Amino acid sequence: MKISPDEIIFFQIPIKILGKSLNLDINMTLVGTWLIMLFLFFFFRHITKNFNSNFEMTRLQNMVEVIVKFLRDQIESMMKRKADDFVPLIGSLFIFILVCNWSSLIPIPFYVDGGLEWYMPPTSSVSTTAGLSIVVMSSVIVYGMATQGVFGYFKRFFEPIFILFPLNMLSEISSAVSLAIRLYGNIMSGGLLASILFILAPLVLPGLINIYGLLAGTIQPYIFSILAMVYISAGMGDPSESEMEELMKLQAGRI
Amino acid sequence: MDMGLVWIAVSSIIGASIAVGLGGIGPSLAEGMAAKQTLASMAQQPDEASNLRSTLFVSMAMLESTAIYALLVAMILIFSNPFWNYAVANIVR
Repeated sequence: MKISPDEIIFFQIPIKILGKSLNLDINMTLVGTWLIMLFLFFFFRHITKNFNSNFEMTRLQNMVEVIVKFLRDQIESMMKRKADDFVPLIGSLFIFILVCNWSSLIPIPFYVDGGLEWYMPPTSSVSTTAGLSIVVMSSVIVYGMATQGVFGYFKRFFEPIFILFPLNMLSEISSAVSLAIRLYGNIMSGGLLASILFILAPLVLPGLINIYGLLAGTIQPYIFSILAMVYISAGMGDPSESEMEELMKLQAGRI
Repeated sequence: MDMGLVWIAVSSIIGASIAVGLGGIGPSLAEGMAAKQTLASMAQQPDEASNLRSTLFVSMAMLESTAIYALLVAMILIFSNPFWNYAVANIVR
């Protein structure tokens, strides 16, 4: 039984790094990520090509507007800042993880080395989720330095007193690790549970577990983006008075 | 088969079972408490139900991650035990 899409290797590319020859595996994680990237690119390109600002809109435009409005509301209520700076990052993370998780329900056969292998979602590999978590953690640093300056950002690690620097560092690292492991564990355990129950009771139970997996697959990207918002806004410090007033004006004008 | 391998297999299976069993207790109790408190709050203030529900989902997933860590340790012990590979490489030549 294969528990990780990393184990399904399509082909290997020999590369040389620092004099050592290594094999770069083109595995199911990479191929699945590429497939989902292609799908998202062409799907949203197709939708945004026919955008209009009339009341008569296509159904897909309506769907995208609902998603974007939901994300903007979440960001503004969570971070107390203008949503424009964060929607591209948080929204891409949310939609990518959501589509990854839901794609686990589509059975796509692949022929690898003459054998039949089934598609596995990229988020059930720890390398994908670790990559996403690295993206979030580096954007924490970038956003924090952009708002507070380099010294203002690093001052956060020496609060309340400088002795706590190792503990602050440890909490930063462990939050990055837990962000990755949480997503990976949830998606992986859902797939594993379904395959184990398929051996025990193949008729009804795997379907029910897959419905639960769909629920978890919907909540996990939400959690991931919420936690990304929490970490980023913690790295940026408290919003200033003028920013708060600007946000209040914006929200009042929208109603 | 060497007795060392048997001991490694037995101890990793027992360890995995204990990890999942004990690791499931804390998160399930905590999730029960969170759900109970949220239901009570929803009954008291139905207007805030949607807000409470989204917060409940987030906290549930955060609590659940503790159980997931235990599951992950169990899976590592069973499916990719580092000592097993070491023992196979060194004992069975």
